[in-house]
Amino acid sequence: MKKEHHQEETEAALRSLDGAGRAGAGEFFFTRLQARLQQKGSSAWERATGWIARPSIAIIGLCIILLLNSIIVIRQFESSVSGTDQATLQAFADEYRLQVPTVYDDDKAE
Amino acid sequence: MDRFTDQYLTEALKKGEQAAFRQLVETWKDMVYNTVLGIVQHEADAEDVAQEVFVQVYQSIGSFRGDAKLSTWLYRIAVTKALDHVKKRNRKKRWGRVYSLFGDKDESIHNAVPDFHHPGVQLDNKERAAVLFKALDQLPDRQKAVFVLSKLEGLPAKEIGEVMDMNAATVEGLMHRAKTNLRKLLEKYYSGE
Repeated sequence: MKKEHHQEETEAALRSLDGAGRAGAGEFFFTRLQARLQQKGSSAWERATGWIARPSIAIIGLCIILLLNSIIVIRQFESSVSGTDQATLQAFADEYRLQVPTVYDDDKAE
Repeated sequence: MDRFTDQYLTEALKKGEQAAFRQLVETWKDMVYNTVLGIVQHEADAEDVAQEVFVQVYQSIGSFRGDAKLSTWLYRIAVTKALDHVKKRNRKKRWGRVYSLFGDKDESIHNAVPDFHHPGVQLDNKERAAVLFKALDQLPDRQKAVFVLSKLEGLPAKEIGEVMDMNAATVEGLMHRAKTNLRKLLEKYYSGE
């Protein structure tokens, strides 16, 4: 009995939209739409700045800039360290004549 | 509106004539709003999405080739935008639930979904329709769209197929599955499970 009642309710609910009227968009819809279109029609520059100012885009952009800067700094540091080492060692060796003399050097002297 | 009027209106819209755009909006605003409302189930959101539909029409009329009727194109945009809106809202709800786990109690209040009462439903059917809409909200996207277009807009399977880019048999299959799923959900609801 109870089950039958549930089934009846279910079928009635399924039919509840039969003959339903169309919901209307309300008055001044076009006026509000025009206002929205004007808002959307702002200049490309405004749209671009708006896009850049979005938190997700701004944070990603900042991270990319920081990453690129870090890579450049690390590379410069590495090259300057290795470059300085070579130059310093060479200068030191020249200054104190640290080259290992070979038999060929003796030949050259003669 | 016949093919000739469609063509005339499309050409006027492509030329950027404001009067043509106004005519388009005034002719189809209720159709778009009603379709969106059936899917979104929230009047303010439906108005917002309906406006978005016409904004897109205004911006992309140049790409409309006239293969389909203008109304079919409008239905297609309306259904797509409404389903997208529901997806975004559900995503927000999920995040809301996550936030509420961390003690933000306000989120749970916003998530409480009130009953939706469609303004076109007769008074003696309001409560049943509210239950049906709740069940409808749980259906997969395509079943939901087919059911709304059929029941609220009264479109035949062939036209729904044109809107959703599928054949009439597929539409009928989706409608059958939608009804079966709704019946299951409603039986569960009425039996108090």
